[in-house]
Amino acid sequence: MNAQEIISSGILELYCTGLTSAVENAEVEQWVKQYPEVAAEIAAIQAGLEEYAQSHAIAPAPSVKEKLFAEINKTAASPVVNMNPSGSGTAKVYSIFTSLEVCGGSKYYFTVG
Amino acid sequence: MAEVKKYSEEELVLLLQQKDQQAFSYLYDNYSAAMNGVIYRMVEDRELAEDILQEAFVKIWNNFSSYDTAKGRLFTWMLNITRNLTIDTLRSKGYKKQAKISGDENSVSNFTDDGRMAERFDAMGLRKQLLNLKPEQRSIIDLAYFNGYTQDEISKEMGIPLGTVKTRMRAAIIELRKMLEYS
Repeated sequence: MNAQEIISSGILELYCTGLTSAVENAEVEQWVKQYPEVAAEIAAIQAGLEEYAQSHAIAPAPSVKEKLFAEINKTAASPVVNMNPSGSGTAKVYSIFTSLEVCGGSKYYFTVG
Repeated sequence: MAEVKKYSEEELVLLLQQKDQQAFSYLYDNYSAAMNGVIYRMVEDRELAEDILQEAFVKIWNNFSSYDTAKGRLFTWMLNITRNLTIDTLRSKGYKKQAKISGDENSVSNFTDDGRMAERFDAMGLRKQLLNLKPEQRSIIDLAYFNGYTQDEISKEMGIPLGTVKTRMRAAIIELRKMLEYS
């Protein structure tokens, strides 16, 4: 298939809405490397869907953000709950987190490393 | 809130790979409401939605190294994580995956929900645009993108042949893109 045939086949829309199989995903990702037009089309589809999702936005309670930052700082050596950090010590935290990556059975998480 | 820093997606990705918490805070501010909207539509329970949202962002933070820019936009990746987590949570809690098929107004009616909409967006303008999408066009996008349905489930839910899911989805997204291209 050439780029135009790929684009008009509808497979890219399925890919962007999570309806393609692992085999098809690999195929699409190969086309992305091969054809700039396919990459551009995917970017446009995803941008459209992103705006669609943003139009359905519901702001969470402010407490969620506080709890989130408390959570991600929990495993650090000296816990700092800081929403606007200067960035000190982030490298250390990073190594701890990479070793702690545990994720429930989703196909999207296995590429860690 | 003294200064509002803006990042391009590339800058944001680079900083997040370095575990920059300020960038993560920005990411949260920009995407949490959209993600929460998706989760809420799946679970229809505000507290549960916020619990899942928090967990999703923890995963995003911990697994940022697995994000590959070649595979698409950051939000798409985040939404995949979020949707899978929501589906896993619903399954583990014994919920049945439940779809809300959009009626004429249904799909965008959440706009007024609680008045806690993200106000950065021209929500009303966008809402008007989206109302021009046919209900079945919204449904097919919603079922896949928001509810994580498979092609087979969509075909059953909408009563259309499996083979037409692809053409319907393409037509719906082309319409959506047309609608959003206003400036």
